[in-house]
Order: sequence, then C-alpha cells, then structure tokens
Amino acid sequence: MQTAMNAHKREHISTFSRQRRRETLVGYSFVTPAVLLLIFFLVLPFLLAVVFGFTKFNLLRPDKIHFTGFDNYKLLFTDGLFYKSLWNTLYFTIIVVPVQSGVALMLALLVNNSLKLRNVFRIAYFSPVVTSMTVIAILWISLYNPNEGLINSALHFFGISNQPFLRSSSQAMNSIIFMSVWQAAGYQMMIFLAGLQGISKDLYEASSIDGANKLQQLRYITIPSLYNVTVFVLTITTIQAVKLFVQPYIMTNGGPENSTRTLALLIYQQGFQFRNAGYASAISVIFFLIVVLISFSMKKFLRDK
Amino acid sequence: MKKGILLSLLAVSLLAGCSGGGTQNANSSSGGQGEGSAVELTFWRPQASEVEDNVYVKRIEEFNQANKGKIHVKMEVITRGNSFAYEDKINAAVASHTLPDVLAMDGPNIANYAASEIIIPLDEYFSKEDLDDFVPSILQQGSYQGKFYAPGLNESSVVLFYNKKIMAEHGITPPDKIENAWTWDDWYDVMKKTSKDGVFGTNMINDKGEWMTYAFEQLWISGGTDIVNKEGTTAEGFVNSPQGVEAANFLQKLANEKLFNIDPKPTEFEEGKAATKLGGPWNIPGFKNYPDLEWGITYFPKKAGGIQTAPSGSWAVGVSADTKHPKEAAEVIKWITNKDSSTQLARAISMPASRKSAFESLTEYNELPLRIIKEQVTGVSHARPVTPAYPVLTQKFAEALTDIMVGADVKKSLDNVASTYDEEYKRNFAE
Repeated sequence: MQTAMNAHKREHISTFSRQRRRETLVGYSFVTPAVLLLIFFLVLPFLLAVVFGFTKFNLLRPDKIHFTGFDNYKLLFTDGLFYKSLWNTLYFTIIVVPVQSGVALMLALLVNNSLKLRNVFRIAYFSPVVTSMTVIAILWISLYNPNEGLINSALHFFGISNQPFLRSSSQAMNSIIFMSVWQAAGYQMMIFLAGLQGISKDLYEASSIDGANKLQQLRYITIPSLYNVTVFVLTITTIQAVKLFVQPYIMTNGGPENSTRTLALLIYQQGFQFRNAGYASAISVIFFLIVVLISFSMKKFLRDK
Repeated sequence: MKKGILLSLLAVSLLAGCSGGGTQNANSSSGGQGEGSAVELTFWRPQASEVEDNVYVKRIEEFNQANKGKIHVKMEVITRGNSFAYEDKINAAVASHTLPDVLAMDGPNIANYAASEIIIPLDEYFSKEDLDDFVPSILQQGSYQGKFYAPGLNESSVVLFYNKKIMAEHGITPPDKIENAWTWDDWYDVMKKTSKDGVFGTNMINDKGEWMTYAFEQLWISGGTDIVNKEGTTAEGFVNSPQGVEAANFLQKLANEKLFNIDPKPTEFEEGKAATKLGGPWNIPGFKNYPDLEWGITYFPKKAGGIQTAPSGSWAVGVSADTKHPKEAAEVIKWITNKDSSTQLARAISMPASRKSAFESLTEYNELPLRIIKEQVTGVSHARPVTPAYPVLTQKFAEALTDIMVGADVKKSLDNVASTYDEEYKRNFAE
C-alpha cells in the first residue's frame, strides 16, 4: 500500500516537473528572439560604444583604430560645443515636458465630454502625431518664414512686425519647442483620455451630491486619479525630449550660432559627418549616463510624492 | 532547449537575411551574361534622374559588349534616401571590406577617400593627352598630393540667371562678355532696383548645406584668398582673412537689406518673385514648366578688381583599394569618362561636359545662353578645397555663412570656422 502510494506520488511529481520543465522551455524559446535582438542591437552596440569611446577611430580607417585612454573624455570636457548642446537639450526638456503634458491634459479634458463633434476634435488633435516629423518640420519652415511666412502674416494683422523665428539665435529653440508641443501633444492626450475614461462615474456622482463644483471635482477626483497615468506620461515625454534630433536637423541644422544644437545632433555630426566615431562614442556614453540619471531621479521624485 | 536553439537560429538567419538583402537586390543592369573567363567587376553609383541613369546603363551595356569575354561590369544603383545614404553605405563597406571595384563619389570627397586609402591613384592608366583633355577643375578636384584619383563625366557651374522682363522694366542690360561681368557692387545695385512689391532682388539659397560652400567659397577666391590654404592644412588667415571678412560682410549686407529670402520657395525665380537667381544648368529643364518666364544667363559676379571665377565640381568615378583587378577597373573608368560618355551625359542632363573635346559636338554651347556656362567651365572655374578634412570644413563653413546671413558677428563666426578646422586637421590628418 505504502509503496503503491509512493509510486503514485513519484509518478505525479515526475509528470508535474516534466510539464513544468516543458513550460519553462517554451517560455525561454518565446523570449529568445527578443533577447537576441536586444543583445545584438542594444547591449552589444552600447558595449562597443564604451570601448570605442577610449579609441581614436576614423570611420573610414577601421584598420587604424587605436586606444587613446581618456583623450576623448578630456577633449569632451573642454569642448564648449558639448556644454552648449547639453544646455540646449536640458532647456528643451525642461520647457517641453510640463508644457506638452499640460496641453495634452487640457486637450484630453476637452475631448472627454459629450461635445457633438468630439470625434472630429480627437482626430484633429491626433493627426499631427501620425504624420511624419520630417514632413511637419518642412511644413513649419515655411510657416516660420521670416519674410513671408503664414505666422508673420498673422502677426501683421495684429500690428506686430516680422519675427525671424528659426533664423534668430534667441527665437529658434522656442520656435522648435512650440511646433514640437503642437506635434506631439495629441499622443499624450490619447493616454490621458484612456486614463480619464477609467475613472469611475460613481465618484463624480457622489461628489456632486456632496455639493462639489466642477473645479473641485477636477482638483480632488480627476487629477489624483490620473496620478499613475501622469507619471507614465511625464516619463515617456522626458525620454522623447532628451533625444531631440529631427526638428533641429531638418529646420536649423543646429543653428543659428548653435542655439539649437542638441546632444543627439552633436553625436550625429561628429560620428557620421566628421567620421570621428571614437569621439562620438564618448559623447554617447556621457549622454547615456545623463539619460539614466534623469530617469532614475524622476522615478524617485515621483514615487516619493 | 531544442526549440530555443531552433528559434535563435531562425532569428539569426532572419537578421542575416535583412542585412544581406540590400546589396543583393540592388538595381543592376548589364548587357549579356559574363562569360566564364571574363573578369567580373561591380560598380556602385547613387541613383540620379531617370535620364542620367539611362545614360549610365547604356554606356555600361556598350562597354560589356565591347569587352565581351574579358571584362563584365555589373552596375548597382544605390538609392539615396537622403543626401548621406550613399556615403553611409560606403562607410559601412569600408569597415567590412566589401567595397565594389569601381565607385562613384562626390568631388569634394575624393581627397578624403584618397587620404583614407580607400581609392587608388590612376596616373599609370591615363596618358598625358588623355588627362589634358579634362577641363582643369576636374583634374583639380580629382587630384590629391600630386596623384590623380578620380575623373568626372560632367562638370557643373553656377551662373546668374535673370528675369528678362524685370531687367527690361528697369532698363538693365546684363553683360554677355566675360570681361564685362558684373561686380558685387553692380549686382547689389540691380538687387536694390528690382527688390520691391514682393519681388526679391535675388534668389541664392538652394540649401543651407553643401550649396553654401559650393557657391560662396567663390567670393573668397574672387577676393584673392580662399577658405583654406593651398595644401589644405590650415584655415587660419584664409577663411577669416580681411578679404574673407569683406566677402562675408557683403553677404550679410544683402541679408540685412532683405534683398533675398533666407528660406525661399524652390520656384521663387520661376514664378517671377526674384529678379535674379544663383543657380546651375540643372535648373534649366525646370524653366520649361513656366512658359511666362523669360530668362537669360550672365556670369557669376566677381569682386571689383578681383578674380573672375565660378564654382565647379561633379560626381567622379574611382577604383577602390579593395579591388583585385585594378587594371580592368581602370578600363571601366576610362570608358565611362571618355568623350562619348561625357557628350552623351551632357546632352541628356544639360550639365556641361568634363572634356574639352566633348564641347566640339555640343554646338549649343557656342551660343547664348549656354556659351556663358562653357566659358566659365573651360576658363575660370575653381574646384572646392582639396583636403581630407573637407567634411568638417564644409559643415562648419556652411553653418557660419548661415549664421552670418541671419546677423551673427562676421569675424567671430569665421574665426570659429578657422579654429575648429585647424584643430580637427591637427588631430586627425597632420603627420
């Protein structure tokens, strides 16, 4: 009896463990392609960038690559253009993240009520997001034309004289910020909209019975309920903002007077146009560390709250 | 675990498939299959207009016919998604040693490729008479440190187009003899007179990249200086020389007085919204779409008392250092840049030929307006600087000129070009 039971138990265990092992294997096999892709296209290139950061590496002379220790980093920390690019990147991020998220939230609140044409509005706000940034950038170059652009014509109507916009070192970055917010806010709007629709109607009903007005409902129900969504939106907006490249690349090529040169643009110029792959790798490593630092401190800041 | 291995193999093969596909499937054209003993050569060039591509296809077919059983060339036309896609492909091929035997390259890159030893000198394959038949600017752009690397099929030039109606309205007669060519001051007066009611005095911004160096380096040359020294080792005292500052001041003056549009519509001149236009032969085919436009050509303006000059430069073909058949590859180069090829391409795309002998049969270049282009190409053109650090020079110079046109300090901007270039050169190319 005893042995029979043991045998049964053993058999049970062994089928169980076999099944588990099979599941594990299936799991691994599902995950393998993704992990391999990550290793090949993310981990390996980054490790290579770290290695190349310590070399002098002309893209056209891979045979002449040689280690130069910290030379690239020494050059980097004395390079005025690096600091300028870093500041431009941070400035863009600091302005764009709150403004874009704020605009997105307002748009979401607008299209969340039962307006007649709300689907038309939703499509209108979202359509810039699905349009290629390159196309939009080229379009905005002509809108911003200092001599005969549409925006200047509109300003004329209000008696304001021609503004140089992209062709002035003091206005170029702000002009890029404005069009970037316009282009991307629709995306965050969609996320906020999903969050808004997840808030229970009961809360609003209960609060209106208690005599809360619309503003109080926004302050005490809507915004606190959106906390997790907001954290998500702020994080992705920041990461997108730090990587700013297409707009200055197409619209200003970093000018005038490097006022729109971002770190991503600097890396591209050094690495591909000047073919200084070693120096560009060193900038990339520093850039990576900065992004990591920003996302960790944001996470900590937002969690602590 | 088997499945995992299988899947990872699958993933790897997929990746391999992706990376290999591009080259394998690239457009190719060839006349007849190569025979067993024939030397197989590959030739890369960037995609251009259909008419231009057709000339190459035809000439390569004829080459393969003429060399049947000896040499067979397979041409791969590489799509240029943006202006650097082709160069990026060359960069990648250098790293993996998969360069083709023959490759096309933009003129100013020749020195960079020669200094990097990815192309080989061709002096031993060209006779002296053959070389002398090329217009001087082709030899200038194709040479590096006394050796000749890459000839071009055609040349280019920049002229001043003018709107005949607008000129007539103001009683202006643009010169048609080179000794009477407009000076900067003459051109400025024309712009001043014609710039009103939504019409700009000139249209002179094609793009804010290579065009800036291509077109405006000539103002430095006309002033008796250049943007780097002859050896290409330093920009200090050249780009920011007093004559250089004067040239840049002239450009800033035009911008300050709003005589041109810094972000023009590409068809501003064609629509009659600009009285003159700095442009090239490539603009001419497009003028046909504007029947109301009556246009003429005059010379690239020079500095008063300065040198008459005009931009030049073209795509060129060279032999890669990776080839196993340099002799046969050189045969291809000689064929694709000979008188017939040069003439046919000039006919097809209305760009001036690179060979003096080709102009004999191109009679349209003996009369106005094209005579002006010929005179510039065969007489006064200057190629862009021959320096391995050209990518840095052109980028920084173009940035500085754009800044200057929107009001940046002239001397400071030019000093910055000089110091950036000199540091870059010292770091990467000084012996």
